[in-house]
Amino acid sequence: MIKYIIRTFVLILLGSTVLFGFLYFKERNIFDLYRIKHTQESNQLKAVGEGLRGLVLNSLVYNNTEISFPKVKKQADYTFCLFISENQCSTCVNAAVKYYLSNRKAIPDSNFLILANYNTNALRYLKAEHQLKCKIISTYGTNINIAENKSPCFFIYNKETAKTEMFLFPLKKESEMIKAYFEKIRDKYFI
Amino acid sequence: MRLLSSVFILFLFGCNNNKCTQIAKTNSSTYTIRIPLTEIANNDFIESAEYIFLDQEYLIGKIGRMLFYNNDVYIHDEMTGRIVVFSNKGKYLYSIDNKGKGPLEYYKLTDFTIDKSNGNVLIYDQYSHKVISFSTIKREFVKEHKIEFYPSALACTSDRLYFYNPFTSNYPREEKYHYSLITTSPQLKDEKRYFKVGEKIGNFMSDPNRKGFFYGNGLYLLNRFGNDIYSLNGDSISVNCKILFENNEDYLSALNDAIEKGTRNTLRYKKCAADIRDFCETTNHISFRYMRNNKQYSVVYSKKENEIIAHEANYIATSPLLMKRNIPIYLFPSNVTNDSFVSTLPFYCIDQIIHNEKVLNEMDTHMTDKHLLKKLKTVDENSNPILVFYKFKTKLK
Repeated sequence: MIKYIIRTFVLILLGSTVLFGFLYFKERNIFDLYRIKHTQESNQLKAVGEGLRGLVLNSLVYNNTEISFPKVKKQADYTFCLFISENQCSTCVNAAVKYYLSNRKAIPDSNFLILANYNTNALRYLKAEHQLKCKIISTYGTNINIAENKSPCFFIYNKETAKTEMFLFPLKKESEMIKAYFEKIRDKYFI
Repeated sequence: MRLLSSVFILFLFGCNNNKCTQIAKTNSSTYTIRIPLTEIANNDFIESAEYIFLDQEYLIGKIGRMLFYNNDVYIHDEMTGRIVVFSNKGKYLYSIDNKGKGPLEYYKLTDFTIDKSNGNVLIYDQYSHKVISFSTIKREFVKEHKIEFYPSALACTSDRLYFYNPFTSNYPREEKYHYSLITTSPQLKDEKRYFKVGEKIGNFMSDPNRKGFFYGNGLYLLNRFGNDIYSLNGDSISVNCKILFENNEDYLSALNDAIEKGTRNTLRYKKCAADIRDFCETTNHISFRYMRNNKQYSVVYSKKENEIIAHEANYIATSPLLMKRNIPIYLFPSNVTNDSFVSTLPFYCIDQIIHNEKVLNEMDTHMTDKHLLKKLKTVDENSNPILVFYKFKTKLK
């Protein structure tokens, strides 16, 4: 009996190692990116590490998922997107939009798109508050399947595969990491 | 001779009486506008219109108070709590934005006015209960004053600063003053002053949900429980405009009934003409809107000819007649400069036209100003509202 339990446990352990190993290799780019932060001050490492676990898990869940992407005229092969929703806390949305505004030079405006699950009025407020001039599409009333997400997220939408890549759920006060993320996106997709 | 001298004596005694003084004042400065039940739907009252497309460099959320000073347009963006300044040609100049809870910062911009004596924009912050001055010359915040009451609006004339204070929780117990209106010097240095309650001015309290003051040739305040418009001048207040509606005898009793029931949503009240809004006055005209039977009527009155030149329930119009004069769309004005009425055309109004093929074809046929037409067609939901400056005719043909 004990042998049977041990064997099952070992099998589960092996299975999960293989599964997470596979996912890890798939996402190694993002891990590389996060390592940038680990080279910084040691007193911040703990907090960053805890946040990262959450981020990585979220990224793993959402990467390579098919989304019902809205129709866009003259769509490029890769569209860099920021998804924001009314369900998300306004501080997080404001922070995410500010990250975009402060790093926007890295990405051409024509390749950037904000998907906003906002009603008309709220959307007008968002545009006016941040003076957003980029392309914004309202996903209000559509079934875009990242809508339940509680945090704003950046990702690349691949037109060919119709799937998402390079998900990032920006952490507050981690502007260096966001900057590095934008540069990574630029180098990989837009150069 | 005896007869003449007795008439003179009677005249002298008569004028010492308060009633006579009141009547004399009323005759010299009050306009009485009689509004009939019938509509005058004729777009021919518009003399000219100038369309100003506001720069897209600054995207406005929602236009609140709009003031005109030194050929510039000052707009309170109610959505974002900023004041945005455009030139009179629509070029974006700068925005006044200093949100915060510290010195010379504001947190909740409730209203603003311009002190024309020094060109300072006075911003009232309802959160910190202070008035902050922004110098349009230096383009920086220069000073702030704490105030100990909680107004919802402020306005400025050359020598006085007025606060509209409709929230009765701030009122002292005395009943001889109108505590809803307070005046001080523009520098806020002297004691605040109130206006005495009297038959002459009645109850001029405005609705707390509205902005209180109207600008035009002077500074005006709307009566909350009546259809009179008051004019503010220094430390005095007087009736500027009496608006008498036909078949509106039940108004006061319906109003009392509404107050008793705690709602204006009664059948009796709705049947009456009431709730005057967007009062605008230029040298030659007066315009305003009112509600009756759940419809919003707009009125344009010619002061010169003492006649109503427009009175209709429909306040947005387009017609071949207007198009021929390069006025593609008319929307009832809500603001005023010294000589023009101003309306802000939002996208949803233009949308009805530019996405209606029939109207668009008519415009192509009738309008000679193709540049204006082209610009109108480029307007989309992300565009700022268009400012339209109208001049009205003094007399209908």
